[in-house]
Formats: sequence, structure tokens, C-alpha cells
Amino acid sequence: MRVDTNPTDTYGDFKIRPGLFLANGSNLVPGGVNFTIYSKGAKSIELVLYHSHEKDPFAVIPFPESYRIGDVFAMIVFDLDYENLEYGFRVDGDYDFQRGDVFDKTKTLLDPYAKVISGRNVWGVEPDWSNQFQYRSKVVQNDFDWEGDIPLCTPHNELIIYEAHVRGFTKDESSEVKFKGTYAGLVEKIPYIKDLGVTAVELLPIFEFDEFEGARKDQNGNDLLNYWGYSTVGFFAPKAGYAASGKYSMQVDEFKNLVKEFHKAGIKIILDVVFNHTAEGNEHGPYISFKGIDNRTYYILTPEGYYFNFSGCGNTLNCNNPIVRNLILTCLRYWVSTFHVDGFRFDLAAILGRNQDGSPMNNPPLLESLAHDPILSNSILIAEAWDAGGLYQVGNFPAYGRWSEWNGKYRDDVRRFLKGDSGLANCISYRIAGSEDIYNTFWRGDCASVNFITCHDGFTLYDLFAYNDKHNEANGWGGSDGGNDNHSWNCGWEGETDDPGINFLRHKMIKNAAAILLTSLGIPMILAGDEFGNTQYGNNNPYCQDNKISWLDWNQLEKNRDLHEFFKYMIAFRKKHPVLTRQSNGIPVGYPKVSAHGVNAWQFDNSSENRVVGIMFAGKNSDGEDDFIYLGINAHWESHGVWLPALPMNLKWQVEINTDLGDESVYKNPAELNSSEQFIIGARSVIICTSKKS
Amino acid sequence: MTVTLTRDDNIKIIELDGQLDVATSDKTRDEVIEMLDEKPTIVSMEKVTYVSSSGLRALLMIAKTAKSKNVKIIYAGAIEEVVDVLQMTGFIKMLHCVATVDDAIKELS
Repeated sequence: MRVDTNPTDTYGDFKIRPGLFLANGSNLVPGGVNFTIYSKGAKSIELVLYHSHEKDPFAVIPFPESYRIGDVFAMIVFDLDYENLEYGFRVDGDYDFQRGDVFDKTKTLLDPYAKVISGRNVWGVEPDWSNQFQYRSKVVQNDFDWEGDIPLCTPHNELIIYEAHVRGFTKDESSEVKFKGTYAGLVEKIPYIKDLGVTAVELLPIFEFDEFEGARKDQNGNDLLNYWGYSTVGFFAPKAGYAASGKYSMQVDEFKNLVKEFHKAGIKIILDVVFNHTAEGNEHGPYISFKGIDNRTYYILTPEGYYFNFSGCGNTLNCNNPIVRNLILTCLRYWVSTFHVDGFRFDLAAILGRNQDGSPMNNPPLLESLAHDPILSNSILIAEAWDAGGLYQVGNFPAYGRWSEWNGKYRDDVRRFLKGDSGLANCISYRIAGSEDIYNTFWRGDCASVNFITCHDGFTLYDLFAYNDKHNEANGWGGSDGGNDNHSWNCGWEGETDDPGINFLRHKMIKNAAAILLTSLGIPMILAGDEFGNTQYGNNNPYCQDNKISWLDWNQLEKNRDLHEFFKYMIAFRKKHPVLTRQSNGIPVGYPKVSAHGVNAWQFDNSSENRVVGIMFAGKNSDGEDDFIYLGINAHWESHGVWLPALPMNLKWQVEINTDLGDESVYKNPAELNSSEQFIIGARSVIICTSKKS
Repeated sequence: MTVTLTRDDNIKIIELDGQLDVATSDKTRDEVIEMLDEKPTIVSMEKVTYVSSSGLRALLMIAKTAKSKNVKIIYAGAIEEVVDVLQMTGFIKMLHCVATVDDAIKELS
């Protein structure tokens, strides 16, 4: 037996000894549990122990004076039934609001490093609000049989991201899975996702959050919940309410199994992470954890002690404070090393580059650390490069050659061009060619631009072409919430219609969008459900809608089979052509890698009223042979003839895609083109031609 | 939790009775492993009312130990709630589970 596994002291009936000062949070150690916590301003700290789900603690153990080194308190408590244990801390210190100290020793606080959190174990079960200690830290058993799995190492160039909400993906009856709305339910859908062909799933926040935060009732008495979850309670804990096994607090095992099973299917897992603020709100918000443990460390405060609100959510995490920086880095390393996740998308990431006084930094230490971290070196890092405080960094996010960005300009330009706005021909050709006007590949690499037309935030792709205006009345804010710059077009009727002409056009517009998205250089991202025309009934901000507005309706898959087949075809098409993923090994002699064309080949028409754009990609296929792709877009409401660029003597054009042909948009047998004739692209249609040997 | 050897001829049947949690799983694991020899073995789960995280790990370690000894081992007859936990967490894929003890006997004979 080791000397340091022996108790040295007793407190009441408990055997204790000084703990592991370099650890964070709780850890299982031989014979007991180690608890470590940092607080700079604390005078003393108590460890508060509960049996699972009990309101009152069974023990309160103060950290003895000698169990503190610097600002770190550490203690091992022996002989605990750790599966039936919940714990928190009570921290005693000054209350001086202006200075930023708001210690309150009456509050029991969640461990900032809690790896399992109890209290919201089953989604939507109303908590006992009379209980002050709502979110309860638990001890994790982190051993797991990975069967040889590690994070996937395929190049980022091959990413085709599929953005999904864990609960919304399978909660509807139509999903036909056993464990609806959960991690386990998502695992049941892996065969579908694999068949679609995407290579990564990006999950909306799965860090523990409270679906009851800001919960309201709508005019019909239905619950409006915090459904999206962009409000973190604990950064290290997978959301229990998303686990079918959450009632047993087995969410860690269930989520690890999810990652393992997706990896077996060759699909990466990317997490949407929210480090810009926490669920503690402003000075009127609850004490959950950070606020009561060391307010001045964890939040950016005004000189008067109030919370800066760069997140639009009440507070701003003090990301470039060394303690917080370390927490974020430790957290991401934990998710990669312990859960094998493959990457992260950072919500309102511009905040991660703000100084402790709120000002933007040129060389933010946090972002630099993340870019160069050895554990994260293969992880995809994606920034939402703006914040709610007016900092907009698309194209100039401090990237260190490592970071990708959500390309908001891609979304807006493609939407506007497709609906027929003028003056966008030049812009759209840049977007399709990888937005090198924004992201110089020399500095930013091949994968800086995450191209998307839709995401969770805004219209679905179907709604983009079914609604001119948002319809957010159900959100309870009188329709005032959600963006107004949707650049959407309803194709002639607002909402659902039986008009076959309008429905034909909507399907065509969706296919146009898919064809452009999946041929554009950069990383494409698809919103889950867009591939089968999922609707949110015109709601462009359903963050609070835990119901059929948000849940995927899998009945649409059968109804809109043509859309699904089209997406599947385009995803496979992208994978077949290395030139589209910037993995082409060489360029055909005499051709540029990417070129823009007008009605006439090699004559790009930059005039304001031009809505016909041809983009040609030239590279080599996987056999090293010349490979040409011509993407022809006619966003005009009339048809136009185009001349395709001449190919080398041994090659001919064939048309593979023509979205003007409805259910026959994908040619079963690609048709050869006669080079002496124009190709007529129908109104609001997209064609894709490829080279074949003549 | 009690661990009982209820049959020991050409096959072994080991019956578990009770909750498999942090208080019992280490002991149960050791007892079952102690009973393993070269004979194919059925672990009857019929009377197991709950399996915790530690319990899952005990079942997995028993299976892994059996595999390392080239002993065929089948978990049989778990109640629905226990099967659900095994499915949710994915442990079911790492264990050989069948619906009833009779099914397991058929499979072994």
C-alpha cells in the first residue's frame, strides 16, 4: 500500500487526507475520492456531500487550513459510495460588489470541473425549485473500452459537415428509433447518416445546460424551453437529459459509445461549444458555480462590478484570464482525449479574443494556445467569428493557420444570388471558388471557409424558398425575435401550397443550393433535415420550440425522396472529385485551377444584371487523369444558352445534373454534349457537367 | 448480491441475484471469475434488478477474462430495464447476451 493512500486526519466519521493539488475537480483515487478546487478570494471552503437526489446534505466537511496551497484547496475523502454521491462547495469570502467579489457561503455551488452533472437527469422534468442546489456535481468513472478507437485522422479537406440537434434529430415519432431524442437514438440513425455520405456530424451544444432556463408558457399554455442549449452550466459534462441513461447518470458512457459508433462508420463528431458566457446571467442571475467560487476570475466585469454583456446573454466569460484560459484548454483536451471528439465549433468565438477589460487583442493567448496545443493538433477548430458586442472578425479571426470560420458571407451571397438579386455575379464566383478574397490560402490553408447556406440559426433550406418573412409568433415575442435579413424567397406563395408549379420551383431551388454548396471549395455544412425538405413552418429562431416545429419530421423523407437522392448524389459527387476538396494532385496543362465564365466561355460577365455564372474546376482524378467540372448557374427567371469552355482534344463534356428536370435532375446515363452547340440552362436552374474521354 | 453456481456439468450456470452496483460489483466480478474454468458458462441475469456504471464494468471484465481464457460466456435472461441500460451505453455490443437461459443452453449444446 502506498503511503499517500492512507488517511491522515478524521473529520467526524470521515477519514481524510490532503488531496491532489494539481488535479481539477473530483477524481477517483484508491480508497476514496479526491476533491480539488481553486478560489483566489475564498477565506475558506466547505465540501458538501449529498446522497443522490436528496435535498439535504449528509455531510459538510471544511477544507482544513493545511489542505490549501496558494489558491488551491485539495482533499481526499475515503470510503465514499461514489455512485450514490452528489457534491458541491460552499465558499466563504468578501461581498464587495464594486470590486467584483460576491461570495455567499449559504450557496452550495457546482464544481466548475464537474464531469457528470445531476439535477436535470431527464429532459423536461420540472425540477424542485425550492432546492437551492440545482446542478449537482458527481464523480465520474472514466474507464471505457474504446476497442482501439482514437479521434479520426482523415484530412479536414474531406469534411462534409451535418449540423444536428441531439434531441430534435430523433424525438419525433416518425424517427422510429427506440431511444427517441437521445444520444442512443442518434446512434440508431447512424446507418441513415452513413448512407447519406456526410463525413462529420456537428452537434448543437451538448455541454450540460438547463432546458428550464428562461422557460415560459406560450399563449396556449405550452412550454417554451431553452431547447438549443446555448447556455452552459458545466463545460466538462455531457448533457444528462440527452442521454437515455441520464436517469442513471450514465451519460458519459452513452456519449462515449456514440463517438465510438460514429467513428466505426467513419464519421467525425464535432461539438458546438459555448465558452462565451455561462448560465449564471448577470447580477440578477442565479449562483450556480463560477460566480460564487471566484466571480472576478471567471467574468469580465465593468469597473463598477457589473457584467459586460458581449454575449447578449447577461455575462461574458473572462477567457483570457490565465485561470479561465486553462479551464477552456483543459476542457477541450478532455473532450478530445477522453471522449475522442474530432473538433469544435466555437459559438461567438470573437469573445475568446477579448482582453480582461473587454477589448479585442491582436494576439489572444487563448486562441494561440488552442491553435498550437499538442492534443488538439488534429482537431478541427471552427470559429463563429463574431460576437454580440459588435466584434466582427470574418476573414481576420486570429487563426494561426489553424482555425476555420463559419463563412457568413457565403451564406448571404449564395442566398441573394439564388433568389435573383442583381450585382452578385462576381461575388458568387468568389464564394464558389473558396472565398479566397476573404481567406488567403497561403495563410489560412485549404479549409478556412466553412460554407453553409443554412444552419440551426435561421430558416431551414425548405423554408428559405417557402417564406419571404419569418413567422416567429410561437416564440412569444410578438414576432420581434430572429433575424430579418434572411434573403429568402417564397417562390410565389407564403408557406404551404398545393400549387404544383410552386412546389416544383421550391424543389429546384433546394437542388440549386445543394449543387452549389457541394461543389464550392472549402468545407460544406448541411443542416440536418434539409436533405429531405424539413420545415420549421417559417420559424427562423426556434431556440425555444421543443416540439414539432424543431423536431425533424422523417415522414418528409418519403415525400421528398427526390431531394434526398439529390443530396446523396452531390455528396458522392464531391467525394469522387479531388479537385473539389483541394486534394487534386496536379492541374491539366493550360488550364487554371478554377475559372469563371459567362454566357460565353472565358468571358466572365461582371455586369450588374448578369445572373448567369459558369465555374470550371480543373484538376486530376484519383487515377491521375485530367478531370474537369463545369458548374453552370442561371439565377435568372428566363432560360439562357451558355457555351462551355473547350476541353483538351481527348475529352468531351457530359451533363450529369440539370435541376430543371425535376425528379430526373440526376442523369442516370450522363448525356454527352455537342461542343458546337450552346447548352440551354433553364430559368433558375443549375447544371453540372463533367469531362469524359471521347 | 449473491452469486450461485446452479449447474456444473458440461456447462456452468452462474446465477446473480440482486443489484450490481458500486457496493457489490467488484466482489461479484471476482467471484464469477473465480468460478470460471474451461467449461462454457451462462451467467443468469434473471434476478439482477439493477446494473450501475460499476456493474457494467464488472460484466465487461468478466467477459474479457473469459475471452482471455478461451471460455465461452453468455449473459442470459436480463430484465428489460437492464437490457435497456446495456443498449443505451453500447455495452451490449461487447457482451454476448440472449433473452433466456434456455436460449443460452440451446446455443451451447
